[in-house]
Amino acid sequence: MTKHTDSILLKSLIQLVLLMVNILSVYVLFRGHQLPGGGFIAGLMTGISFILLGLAKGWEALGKNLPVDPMRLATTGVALALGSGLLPLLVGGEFLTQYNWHWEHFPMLGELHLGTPLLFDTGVFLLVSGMTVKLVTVLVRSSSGLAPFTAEEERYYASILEEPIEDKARRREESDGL
Amino acid sequence: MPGLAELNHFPAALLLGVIVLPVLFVPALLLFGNRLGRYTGLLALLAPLASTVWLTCLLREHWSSGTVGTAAIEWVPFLGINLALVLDGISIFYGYVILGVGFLVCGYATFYFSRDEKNMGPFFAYLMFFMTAMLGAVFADNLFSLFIFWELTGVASFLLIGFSYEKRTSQLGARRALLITFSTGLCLLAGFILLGQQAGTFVLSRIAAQGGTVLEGSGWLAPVMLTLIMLGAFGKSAQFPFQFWLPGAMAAPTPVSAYLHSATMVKLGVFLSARMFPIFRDLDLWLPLVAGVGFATMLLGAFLAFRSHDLKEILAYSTVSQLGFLIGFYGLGGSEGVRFDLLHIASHVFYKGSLFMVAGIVDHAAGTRDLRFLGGLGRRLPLTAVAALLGAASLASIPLTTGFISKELALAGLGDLWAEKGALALFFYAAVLLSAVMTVAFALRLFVGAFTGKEPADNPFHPPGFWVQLPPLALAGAALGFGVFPGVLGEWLDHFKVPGLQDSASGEVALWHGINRELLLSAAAIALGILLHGWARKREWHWNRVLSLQRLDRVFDRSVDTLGYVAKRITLALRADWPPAYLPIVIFTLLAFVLSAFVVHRAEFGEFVNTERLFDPWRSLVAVMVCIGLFGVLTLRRWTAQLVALSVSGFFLTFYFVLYKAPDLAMTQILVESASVVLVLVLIARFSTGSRAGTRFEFRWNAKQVTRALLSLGMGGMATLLVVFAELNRHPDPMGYHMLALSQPLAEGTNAVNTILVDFRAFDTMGEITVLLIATLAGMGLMVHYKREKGTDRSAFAAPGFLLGKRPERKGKSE
Amino acid sequence: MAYDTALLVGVMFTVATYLILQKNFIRILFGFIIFTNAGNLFLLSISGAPRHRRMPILEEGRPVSDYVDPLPQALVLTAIVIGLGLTVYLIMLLYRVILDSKTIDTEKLFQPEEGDE
Repeated sequence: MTKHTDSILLKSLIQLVLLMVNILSVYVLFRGHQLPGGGFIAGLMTGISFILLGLAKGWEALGKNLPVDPMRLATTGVALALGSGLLPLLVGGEFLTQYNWHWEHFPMLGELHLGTPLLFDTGVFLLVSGMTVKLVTVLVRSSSGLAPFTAEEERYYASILEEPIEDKARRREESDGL
Repeated sequence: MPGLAELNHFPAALLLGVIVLPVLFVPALLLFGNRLGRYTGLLALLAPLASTVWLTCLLREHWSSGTVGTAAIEWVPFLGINLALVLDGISIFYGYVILGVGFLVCGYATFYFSRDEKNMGPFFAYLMFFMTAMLGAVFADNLFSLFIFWELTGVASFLLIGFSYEKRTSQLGARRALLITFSTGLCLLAGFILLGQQAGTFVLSRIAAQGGTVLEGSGWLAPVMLTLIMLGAFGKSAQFPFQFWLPGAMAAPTPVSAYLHSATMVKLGVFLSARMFPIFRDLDLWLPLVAGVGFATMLLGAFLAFRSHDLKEILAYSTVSQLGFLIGFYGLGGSEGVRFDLLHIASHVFYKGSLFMVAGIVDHAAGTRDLRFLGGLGRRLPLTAVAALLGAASLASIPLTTGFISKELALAGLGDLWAEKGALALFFYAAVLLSAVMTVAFALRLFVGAFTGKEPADNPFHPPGFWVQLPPLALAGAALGFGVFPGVLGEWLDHFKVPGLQDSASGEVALWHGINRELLLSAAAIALGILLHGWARKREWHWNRVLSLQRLDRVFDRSVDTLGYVAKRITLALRADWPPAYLPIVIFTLLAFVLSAFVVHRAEFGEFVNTERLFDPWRSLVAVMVCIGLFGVLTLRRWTAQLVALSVSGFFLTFYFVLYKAPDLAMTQILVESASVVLVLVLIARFSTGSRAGTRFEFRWNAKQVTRALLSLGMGGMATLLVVFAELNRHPDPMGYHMLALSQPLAEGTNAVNTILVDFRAFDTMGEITVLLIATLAGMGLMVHYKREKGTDRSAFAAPGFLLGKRPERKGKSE
Repeated sequence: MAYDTALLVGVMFTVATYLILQKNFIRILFGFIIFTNAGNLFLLSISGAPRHRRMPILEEGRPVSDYVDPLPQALVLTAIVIGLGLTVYLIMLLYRVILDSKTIDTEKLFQPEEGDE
């Protein structure tokens, strides 16, 4: 677990798998209102796809490759869900009232169904995926002797008074001549 | 009802202003306290003055004699807890006493403390806080607000007694006062709640207006109520058996003793007795409880005061004695109401306030309060001596003082009782006379011992200032003035009559009633008192150990300490140093609760036999697979193998969900299972191969293992029974079907599970994702912050040894 | 009356409780995970045995009684995810405890050290 895998198959296919899983997960998110699926499931799918990426390419690489900090994703998700709940207040509705719009013949797409539940579900999706990725990366990296956070992240999360747990491990390894 | 008053209303904010005005001074007092030193008192003095003026203006506008005004500010209306205020005779009378004595005490305290005294800001701030609490208590019209203010006065008293917090006596005294008044206060609260439930309202004026009819149909609850409420009053007023806290409270600075512990706070018990009088007076218990305890305390207090040597202690016990009389006085009240109660209170305020202030001056001037080491101060302190003489005379009920008037009226009242109750009155008569004799003796000793005779040679003498002697002189002057012209006082006090409490027929107060039985008895008491004083003086006030009732305080202290000790022993006995030891207890308790509920509802299991039994073959197969996985977790040796077994059971659970027609659940479960396998693997991979080997599952027949197995089986059985029970008691119309039916029309979705999640119960989901966010943050926090030890601690990640339970030797702390 | 579910829930609770009562951290962790699953299954069983009812994806023209009760499913779905969050948290906590106290044995963990009170 601490070293990334040596499987050539996994390494070479991981980009493709990642892409496919995430397309699927977005599909599952969108269809959730009508068919099995939804934010929780889609979020877990995305999260696990990144765990797979970490397994294949190494956790350090994962940290560098992520375009955004998953924690921000998670926070955005909760904010989005809350925001979609607060929106109805502007038009005089109750907190978390949901609205739906339906077009039978939308240009180019045909039948289209949109609503604020999707916004809420997207919030759930963001949170679950962000949470999964964040927790796994932090745990894995800290247990494999790396710093759990990158230098940039550390500015956000780490207290200046205390050192991250793994600095000690890293220094030990350095002093051991690794 | 006799003389039921009309309730008129007035703006609540006006009276509230009077109450909170003193506490508004607190910031200023704290701010300037350090700079002004003792002269902070002059600033504090303005508060009672302003409040008095405000109250007087309010009364002119909104109150006339004999009426009851109410006002309320809503607080928790649906529980009947409001900040209700009442303006009636007795509350106004107490209000004036609080403000008037407060004014004098502030002035006295200003010159009582030395110039370089510290912490004057907090001292006067506490005093103001007390004043507000006290005013709130007397003007409160709601039982709950009365209780809250009642307890607040206890807090203020605690703070003021503990003002010299580094002294052991202060600590003890403050602790005793707090514990006694608060524990009896809880009784009071219980009594109030019972009374409120019985009456259907917590508004005091409304309860009082109904009088004794409130208690109709309450049966045995009425005496319980009365006892609880009077316990509160007895605790506050230091009545038997709580009499010992008051002398302990004398560790407070003398202005505090004069104010809280003689004039105002301890009178709350008397006040409460007056408030409860119209409600409970027809109860059979009223006379024996209130009058019995009151007069017994009167006798006991007088006896203890007679035996004491410390000036303040004598005064404290004499206060106890007088409070006993005042409370007992209400106990004797007839059906028409009581008479002259306010006169007794006013008289007591006059002389006791002045005597306390005198004691403070003597303490400062001579450096001691022990009468055995005092003497001859009369020449040095002529003004103080005059105040002391007048105060002591009033205490001893010498004619021409208010004390005399009060005693005459009391004896007359008792005489009437004699005619009514016969022998029962004999006890009260004896108590009053005996305590009168002793009071004369120690009052005489107070004056003679301190102010006449030879001056002890070795006592240093610091002359007090002129101003400090004025407040006691003012009070003593009042005792004399109103003693000579009692009619003025009587007429003034007549304004404060409360219908239902006081006798509506106005009694005449006069100095001279002619030679009658009361006068003769008074004269006899004074003569006997002088004789007693002479006899005691011959003995040099030296007593052999008599029955030590006063040592109740020791008993109390010891019981408080024992309580702590016992609690500690119990905790030690019950506590486990190993927290997992609690888990079996928790599980056992849970089992006991749930299984006993099953036993109670066992009849409902009767349908069990009639239901269709269902063993779905597919589900049973999957269940068996899950169980095989679980069995693997239990028995496999390696952790990794156990983990594989665990995920087997988890994945098969997915199929179970499928068979339960829950596609969303199945998808979620399979994903979660994958994620958690990876995560657990991360943890296990941290260990070196040797420790990963794990240990084989071995069941031994020892007590620990058997207990665990039994508890586990119990939990399993309980869960099975719960499922069966839930199945047997299904709601005929479950909520979910309504959501199912409305899923398309309202939420425009066909996946009912998802519409429930994001629409019907979106608030739940909102909360859940917030919980997940918090869990994430907490987990990250766990990984980031790590308390570091200095030096390189190589054992932290070292050999597998520590993971097998071997602890590395600690290195020296010096590193 | 779904006997198999009742029995399965019972077995799962038994195993989970037994594991949680052990002193080894890893065992306790496994017990916790099984506990979560058992709890979820217990909640789900409240919707009743499905028999011939359909999954709660609505189709035109079917009465609601043709479907299983969706509410317990919705509750369990969130419970599963919450369970994951808590499991990860527990793993982190255990890892942290292991680093701090250098033991995986709860009995050793709480033994007072010399010099402690």
